[in-house]
Parts: sequence; C-alpha cells; structure tokens
Amino acid sequence: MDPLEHHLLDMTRRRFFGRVANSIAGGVGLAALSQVLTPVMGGASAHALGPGELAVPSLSPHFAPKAKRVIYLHMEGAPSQLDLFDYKPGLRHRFNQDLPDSVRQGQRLTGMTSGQSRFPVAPSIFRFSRHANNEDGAWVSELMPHTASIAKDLCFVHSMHTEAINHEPGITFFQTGTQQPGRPSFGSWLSYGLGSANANLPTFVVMITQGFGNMQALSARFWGSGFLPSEHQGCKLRSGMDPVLYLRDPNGVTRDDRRRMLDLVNDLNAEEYERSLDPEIRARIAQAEMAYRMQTSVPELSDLSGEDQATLDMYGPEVKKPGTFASNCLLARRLAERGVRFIQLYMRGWDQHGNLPSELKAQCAAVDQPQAALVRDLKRRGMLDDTLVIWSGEFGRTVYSQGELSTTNYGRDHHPRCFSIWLAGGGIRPGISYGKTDDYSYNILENPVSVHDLHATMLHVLGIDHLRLTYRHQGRDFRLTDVSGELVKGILA
Amino acid sequence: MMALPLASTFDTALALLGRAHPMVLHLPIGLIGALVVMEAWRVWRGEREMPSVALPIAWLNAATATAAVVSGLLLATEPGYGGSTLDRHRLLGIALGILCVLAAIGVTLASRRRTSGATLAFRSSLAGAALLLVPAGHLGATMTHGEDFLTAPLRASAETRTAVTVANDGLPQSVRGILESKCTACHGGTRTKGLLDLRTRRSIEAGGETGAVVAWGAPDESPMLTRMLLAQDHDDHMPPDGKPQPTAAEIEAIRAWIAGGGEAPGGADPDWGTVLAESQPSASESTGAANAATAPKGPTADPKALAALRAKLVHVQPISSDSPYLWIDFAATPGVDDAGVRELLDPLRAMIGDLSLARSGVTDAITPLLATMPHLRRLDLRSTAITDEGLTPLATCVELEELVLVGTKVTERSLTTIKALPKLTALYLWNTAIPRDPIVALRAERPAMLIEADEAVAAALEVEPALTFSSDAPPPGATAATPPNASAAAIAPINDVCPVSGAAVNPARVIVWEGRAIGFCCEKCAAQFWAEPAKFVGNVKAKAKAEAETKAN
Repeated sequence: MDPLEHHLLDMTRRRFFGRVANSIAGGVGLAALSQVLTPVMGGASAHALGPGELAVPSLSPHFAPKAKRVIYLHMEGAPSQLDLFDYKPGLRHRFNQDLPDSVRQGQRLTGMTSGQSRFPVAPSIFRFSRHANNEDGAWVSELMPHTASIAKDLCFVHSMHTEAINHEPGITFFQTGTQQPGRPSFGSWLSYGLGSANANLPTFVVMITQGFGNMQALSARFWGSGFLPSEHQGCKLRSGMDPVLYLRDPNGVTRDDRRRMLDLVNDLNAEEYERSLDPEIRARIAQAEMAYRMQTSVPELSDLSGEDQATLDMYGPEVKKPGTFASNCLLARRLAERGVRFIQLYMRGWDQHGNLPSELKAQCAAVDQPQAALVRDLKRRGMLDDTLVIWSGEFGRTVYSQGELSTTNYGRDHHPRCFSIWLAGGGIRPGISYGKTDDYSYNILENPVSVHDLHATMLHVLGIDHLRLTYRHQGRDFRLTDVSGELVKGILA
Repeated sequence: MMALPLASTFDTALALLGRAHPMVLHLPIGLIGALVVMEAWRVWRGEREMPSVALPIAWLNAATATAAVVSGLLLATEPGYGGSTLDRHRLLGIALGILCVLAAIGVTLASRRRTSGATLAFRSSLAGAALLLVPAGHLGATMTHGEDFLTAPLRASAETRTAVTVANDGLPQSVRGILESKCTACHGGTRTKGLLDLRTRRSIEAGGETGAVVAWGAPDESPMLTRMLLAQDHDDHMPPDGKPQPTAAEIEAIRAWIAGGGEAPGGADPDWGTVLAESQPSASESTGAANAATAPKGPTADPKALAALRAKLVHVQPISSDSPYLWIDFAATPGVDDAGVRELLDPLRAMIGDLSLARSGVTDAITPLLATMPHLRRLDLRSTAITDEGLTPLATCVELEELVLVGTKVTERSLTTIKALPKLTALYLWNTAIPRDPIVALRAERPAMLIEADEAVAAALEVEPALTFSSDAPPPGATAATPPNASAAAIAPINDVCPVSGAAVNPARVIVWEGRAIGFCCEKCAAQFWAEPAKFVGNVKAKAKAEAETKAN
C-alpha cells in the first residue's frame, strides 16, 4: 500500500472527530473567531482555499488603540533592580548586616544560595542621581546615564513581581503568561489579534544580542506560536550577512525558478489541505509566500545607507556592528517604521550571581545609549506616541549577596518578589514611578503589578480587551492572561 | 463545409512541422560537426581521397539544415515570437542552410573531379557553416531559455551581495512579483516579445505591437488579463502553454490591480477576498463587514476602495471595531506617488481618521485631497517632499489632533497654518527648517500642545554624594514603623517628652534604642528618630537625665 494512503487510513478517534469538527466549523481558528470575537464576520464557511490565504483572519482592535506596535526589550538573565532603578540609600548603612527574617518571610531560595549560612545585605556600590520627570524626579544609577536622561519619557514600575524563580519558567511566563512551555508568545497573540500592517514583513520579529555575563539558553519557543497557527510565530532576524537563513536564493536559482517551485509546492499543499483541513497547512502556504516577499523586503530593511550620521551617532559606536544591541535598536526603529507589530530584542547576560559590579557595568554600557537613543529617536519622529516600549527582565535580584561580599564585589541571586521595569510611549503615562518596595527592595509595599497585569495593560493600550482575545484549543478558550490580569490604571496616560 | 476542417488540418500540419524545429535543428549541428572532423582528419593525415561516407553525410546535412530552416520559418509565424533576436536568428539560420547546401554541392564536385576549386568551395562553405552555427544557435537558445540563461550563474553570486531595493516602477509589490515570475522573462527589457515590456507601469501602459494591454478600471477589456484567462491550449493564451502559469490568486491580484489602478476609481472586482488573501495575508478580512455592522448610522467604506488599497499592500484597518473611521498606512509601499495615493484615497475621504504617508513619494499636490478629509485626526507626513505651500490647505482639517512633519521642508511660515488648527495637541517638528525661537514662542502660546523637536539632554537634578558604607543602621525588627506589640508597650519609656516634636509621649509609641526605652508622641517622630538618631539623641538624654534627677531628689 502507498505509505501516504496508509497514513491517511490510520485514523484515530480523536483525529476523526477533529476532522469532522473542522469540516463543520470551517477550521479551528474560524470557529473560535466566529464564536468569540467577530459575530459580525460573515462567511465562516467561505474558507475556500487560496494560496497564501491566512489560516485565521485577523481582527480589528476592540477599542481605539493608543499604541499600534510594541518594542519589547527583554533583559535575559534578570538585571539587578537594586543597582539600576530601585534606589535604596538606607542600605548603604546596613552593609553586611544579616537580612532580617521579618523581611525574608520564608521566601524560597534557589539552589544557588539555599546553602549559604547567612544572607549579608549588599548595598549597591553605584551612585544614583535624580533626573527630572513629571513627578519629583527619578533616581537612576550611574550605570544608565543615557536612560536617566530620558526619565521624563519613562514610566518606572518598581513593583513588578512574578511567580517563577528560575530563568526558563521566568522568561516563559513573561512571554506566554504561563510558566509551562507550549502557550503562544505575546507577539503571536498580537499577530493573531491585530494582524500585520506590512504584508512584506513578519508581524513578530525577534533579534538577539549576546551579553557579557552568564547567559541562559534562549529557546525558539519563547517566540513560538503555541497552539495558534504557526504563521503567527516570531521570526528571528540573525546578525551578520543573512538576517534570515536560507532566505536568499542559492546561486543558480532564479526568482522565476523560486516562483515556480513555490507554486508547485503550494498546489500540493492546497491538495493536502482539502484532504485534511489542517490549518497548519494553510499557515505553511502563507509562510512560504511571506518568505518570498521577504527576499526583497529584508535587504531593504537592513540597508542603513539612508540613515544620517547624527542618528547613527546617537545609537553609539557599535551601531553598524551587526548583532549589537545598538544595531538591533536601530533595526527595531526601522521595523517599527515599516509597520511591524511586535519587535522583541533580547539582551543576554544579566545573570550576575557573582562579579556583579564589573559584569553589570559591561552590560549597561552595551544597552544604555542604544535604548535611550531608541526612545528619543521614536519620540522625535512622532512614533513614540503609538509605539509601546517595554524594558524588563524576567525577575529581579536579591538584596543579599550571593557568595563573598565586599565594598567592591558581590553577587545577587534570583528574586521574584519585586523588581523594576520601565515602559515608554503608546498610552503609558510618561515621567512617573509606580509602586513601592520596602527598604530592602525585597517586598512590595504598594501597587503590586503581576506579569498578567502587565500583559493586560499592554493589550489595553493596543486596543485589545484581554478578556476578549481568546483562542479555542483543547475544548476551552485560552487567553494570554489565563484567568488573571488586572488593568494597571495608574500607569495609563 | 469541408474547407474549414481541411484548412485547419493543413494549419495543424504546418504548426506541427514548425514545432519540429527545436528537434530538427540538432541534426545539422551534429552532421556539420562530423564533416568538420572528417575534413580536419583528412588534412591532418594528408590524404587526398575524401572518405566515401562524406557524400551522404553532406547531403543529409543539407537536407536536415533545409528542414530546420523551413520549420523555423513556420515556427516564427506562431504568436509569441518576434523582436530583434528572432530577426537575427532567422537571417543567420537561412545563411547557414544555404552554406550547408553549398557544402554538399562542393563535396559532390570534389568527389567527382577532385579539383582544388571544388575542395576550396567545400571547405570554405563548411567553415562558414561551422562559424555561423555558434551565433545562430546562441540566438535560438536565447529565445528558448531566456536572455540570461548562459550568464546567470556568473551574475548570481554578485547579485546576492547587493541589497535589492524596491524599484521605482510604479507597480505594487505583489503585482511586480507576479510579473517578474510569470511575464518579464519574455516581455521585459532585452527580450520584448510582441514589442511588449511589462517591467514598469509606464511600459505596460505603452502596450505592445497589438496595441494597449491594459484598460485601467476595466479588467475584462484588458488583453493582459483576458489572455491569461483563455484556455491554456488557445493560441493567444498567455503565458504560452508550457511556461509557468499564474495561480488563480495571482490572476485575481492582476484583475484587482487593473480594476483599481485606472484613472477612474471604482470598478474593482467585488470578489476581493482571494485578492486580499494573496496580496496581504494578515489583513483584516472583517473590515468591511465590521464597519457595516457596528457603525450602521455612519458612513461606510466602499469595499471596492478597500480592496483596491489592499491589492496595493496598503494597510487599512478600522481604528477600532466601534469606530467607522479608518487607519491607513502606506508603510509597505514607499514608492507610491501623488496620483497613486489620490486614486486610492479619494473614494474613502470621508472615512479616514488616521493617515500615514510617511516615507512615501507624495508632494504638495496631495494636500488639497487631505484637506477634504473631514475626520482626519492624525496625519503623518514624515520624510516626504511636503513644503509650506503644501501645508496651507490643511488649515481646513479642524479635527486634526496630531501632525507629524518630521524630515519635511516646512519652515517657520507653516506655523501660521498650524496655529489655525484648533484641536491640534501634538506636533512633531524635528528635522525641519523651523528654527528654535518660533518653536519656543509657539510652546508659550499653546502650552497644552506637545511640540516635539528633539530637545537637548537635561542634566541630573542632583547626584548622590560620594558613597560610604557602614553597618550602623539599626535592624528593622526594632523600628516603631510597625505598631508595637503588647510586650513592647509594657516597657515604660524613660522620657515624658517626645525628643523629636517636644509633645507629650504616647506610652504605646516606645522603641528600644541602645538599651534604653525611648517614648515618642507618634509613629512619625519615631521614624524620624530612626532615620537620624544622632540629631535627636541629645534631646532624649537631657530629658531622661532631668527626670532621673528630679526622681532622686
């Protein structure tokens, strides 16, 4: 028997019911949409396959959005809030004191410090300075002078907290709203919810910068689409000559050959789709067409010849070196200009368990000028008002030193109970600080913001009600915010 | 009755003969080669005798060459062939055929009389044939395989290094892609079959030898589309049978492009769903319907106009599902010009709330159209050729709240227009010719308006003094910040008067400091004391001492 035919006959009960359900509803996605989101969208049955057709059509915002796109600067490894943005001058006189149990309150520890006999308080050895914002000023560490200079555009949230205490679940939580892998990434939800504003580029683009310190693995599933159709997954742009691997036609293959190959493959895929009604096949067709268009749009994107020298200088000396944070920040602005919805930049290497002062200096030197330049550049181009910029790690770091403590060197362990992030632009109140931590930057005193709350707020400024952006999978409606999420009204403009 | 089938049979036979050309032509190539080798061998070995097999080979060569010429002439009458390449190929082919016949005659004469003249005639005509074979063959192959076939591998490596930028050809990217992959191999640049060049909008409008190929707004009257729709075996079908054929979606994209691209707007194919899916995979399919359903009282966008926008990869989306107005963004089509924008936006004027023409090719000529958009709230003209003259008509856009003029040529004179906009709350003027002073003046005049022109970086308000570290601070477990528990309250304070405020001590507000129980009037004072014990500790001691003395007395 033909092995393909054999495979087709090898039908399980689940597959059978799944297929029947698909035939009735006209695709899983359309079923979810027609039920939940677009009662006005006629023609759920009109899903006749066209090559390049989107498996799940996108929607319009629920209400008028403040932001049209997101630039998410993820500091992988968790930067120390104590040494950057959460100013605790009182700790300078608690040097090497033991962290009181009344503060720690039985907080669980990672395996890296649970064996320590004592938890000596390590005040930051970096000087802070106060910078004008729309309140009584923001205290920012000397490690971030450029970022400090744009304090009037930033909204610091000092009361972020998360559930995870290790990187992998921590990042997964920030990206997908749950610690377990497998859910769609934030950018995928956005791609699904809002669609593209430029059909020549992916809706969700990811770029990575290598750091100086201890680096954790960055799995591609952090920008995966989970159960959403896979055309919503993030597209990683690499540094170097080829931003997208295998996008270039090999020598000897003309664009005409490529077109013919694609047409043939699309025809075959279309046939298989008619047989199986698997939405992934439509996603595959859409992605192949996208890749074909990206063969011209990506080289145009990475061609910096149109940038004036002053702008390049603003991003710092490394702006032309592919893969640096400066280069990626500039590319992020260019992607935003071209209508890409979700741009995620990862900066690796913030995991300072030891040698924090020297490593943190290097990390900050790499990100400070570019990220401030990005905000300034967006602002002066009139784009900051409709672009949401987020700067965040996956959790914070402990006030006590991991390992040896001296006035010149110390380390900090993971701390999920409180940490500082900043947001800027689209719909966020500029120049404020939100939330307070205790004197040890260990517990939150007021206005706690959970990851779900942050997600709900991000969706809100994009015009999406987080309760109404759902996708039916395995028999229930899933949301980015799962069963939680409160809008953080205090940071909305 | 019989004439027609007969005629068509005859035509078919001729067509068959013509199509035998690519096969037949290879026979003389081989035979010429054989003759050249034989003759070269004879000269090399100094043999006087011509091999007897040369005679039949030479005549077979003459016959097949003639057949190749005749079939080639027949093939050339078929549609789809023409142009200078064909002309040169035809000339060389006929010459080659004649030389082959001459060579055969030369062999015949030489084998009979062995005169040097006959041998010379044979050799020269054979040499001529062998020489002509190369260009004739190359030109023929050029027509079959395309201009760049031979040199493509050479250029491929160089080409990939240069960034491919979007050409200023007046074509939407989707259409350009279709034309590049399906049409321009024959109808473009070096090879323009039927004198038709499909590489740019202008050359498409110029048409080919049979006249115009597009009638803007009337796809069904545009040969460019109708010939794609003919049965594939029809003589007029394009692309020719055997060449890569466009998909249904691509044909629909061409249809929508012709429908929406004419001088007169409208006339788009109502069935634009497929077009949309092909040309803009992530576009919101529900747009038109959503508008109609959620904003039934307001005006609704013409679906044909929306389809025309999407066919050109222009982003269009309702601002939200409860708003009838549209966000339109030309981010994907930086090459678009005034005419293109005008014909796309004119039918939607009343519907546009948020318009970005940033980085596009629009000029001052576009602003009279923008001035007729009554609901325009946000307008982005960043990095366009807009000048003061262009901005003047915008004074009528009374709803305008945000205006982005970054990177344009506007000067101070435009501020008059800007001041006339009553609702303007955000104005972006970086990288314009407007100097700082008038911007400062405008800020004073309109304090509520955000005017962004990239200010200088502000210095820090204060900097922490040089850092000192100590372990002196008291542990927080002893602070009075938390309400004192029962046992703490039981400790009697050694003072009556609060060392911070001077008020009477509240016995519930007692802290233990350096082994002494010190009372305060309230929590605030206790906290203040903790913050700077050195400042207040003198007060405590004095009181405590005084009390102790009075007690002793």
